[in-house]
Amino acid sequence: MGLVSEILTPLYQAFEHIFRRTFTIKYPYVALKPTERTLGRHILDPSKCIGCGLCANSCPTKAIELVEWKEKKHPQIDYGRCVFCEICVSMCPKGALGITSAYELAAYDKASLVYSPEQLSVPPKPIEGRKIVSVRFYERRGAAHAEVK
Amino acid sequence: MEFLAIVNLIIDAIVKILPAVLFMIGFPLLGVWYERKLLARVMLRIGPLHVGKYAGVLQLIADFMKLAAKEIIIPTKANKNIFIAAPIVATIVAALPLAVIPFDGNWVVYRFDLNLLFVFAMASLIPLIILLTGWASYNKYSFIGGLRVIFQMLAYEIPLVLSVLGVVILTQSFDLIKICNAQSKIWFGLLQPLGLLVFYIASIAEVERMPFDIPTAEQELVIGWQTEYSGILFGLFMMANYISFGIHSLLITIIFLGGWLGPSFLPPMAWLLLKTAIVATLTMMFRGTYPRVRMDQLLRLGWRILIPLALINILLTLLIPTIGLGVVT
Repeated sequence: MGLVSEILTPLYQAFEHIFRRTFTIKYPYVALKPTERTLGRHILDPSKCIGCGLCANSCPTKAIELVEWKEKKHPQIDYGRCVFCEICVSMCPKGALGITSAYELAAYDKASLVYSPEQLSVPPKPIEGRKIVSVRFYERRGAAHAEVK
Repeated sequence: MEFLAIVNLIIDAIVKILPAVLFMIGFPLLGVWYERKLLARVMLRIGPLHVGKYAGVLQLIADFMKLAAKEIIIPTKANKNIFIAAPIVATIVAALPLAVIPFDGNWVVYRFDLNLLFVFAMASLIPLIILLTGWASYNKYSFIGGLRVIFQMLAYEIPLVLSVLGVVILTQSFDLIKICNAQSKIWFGLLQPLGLLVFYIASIAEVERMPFDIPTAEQELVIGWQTEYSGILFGLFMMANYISFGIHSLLITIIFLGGWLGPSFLPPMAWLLLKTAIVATLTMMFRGTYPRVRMDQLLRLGWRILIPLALINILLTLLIPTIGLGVVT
């Protein structure tokens, strides 16, 4: 009897899984809500920035470059290189550079991954027109996704 | 009049081959999509999603077009003729049994008395083609895969034929139509559960599906005897594999599960396809459930368990009429 139950129990469990909720998010149609600690795109406050270049110097991947904008030096960030380590944000003496949780940065070419100071100073667009879900943990079912109201 | 008669003949011929051809094309396309969806649900994933309006139904057509558009790479030291011919021959040989498998009491492309034997003959040809493929690819993975196919064939081919023998003894016939129609009172699967079990396990091994996919073991042999194949040639092998999978599901249904017999609110062919779909679903579930067995485990299963069980089944079959329980005359 042991052999038979060894064969049939996994099959029954697999069968049971068919009717459970799937764990995958249908991403482009449904978006995951970023957590509080999500490190996403930067945001620049041009009025606070003094163009000291500490962010560019501290960047481990040399993603930041200082460029001329409005007769002053401002950081320009290449998201093809950025590793989202947040060192530049912690180095900024005036708190001009901040971090947001925007994670949808995909682009069709490398050139459009370079964000100029002008683009950086605009806050990122929030996720709209889609269902936003977050991960919840349940006692019996394990992890699952639930809609955020 | 002459012209009309010829047109009638052509229409008759087309109607006659229609289910077989549709099964040959439809089962690989819909079957692979269904399997991917089903396995995804077993693993709590979603599976194909984007292509096609509903749940990625057209995914397989997109995949097939992608395969067809890809370059065919032939290894320098490979035997080119065999390398190119093998997938084409394999697909034809795998699909040939559809010419004699009935989809209905009368709906069969070519009817003759020994069609069950013909199906087995064609099915046992495929391992030889695969051995040739493995040898012609000039690749160690392909060659080991080819050898494993032959080993595997030794393990399952004998119990596969032995397990059907019980049914053949009961019906006194190798004709699938007679075998199926003899089950109007009780299915042979209920009458001979041992035969059904042995035939089912052996047929899974025959079509190299998990847990018996030893020749194409992805973790050990890249993808076994298909390693060097690319583009449409790989697609043809895939198609051949799924056609023989479909044919074996059909065979189980016809021989053991009453085939097209069923209550009359559905047409006979619908019953056949419904039962086939259920059998195929169960086989696909095995893929999502069980780990692969080793070569020695398969040989042990074949020789020590399946063959004795098949022989016991034949013995019981011979005993049933003598003690007066014969259902079929």
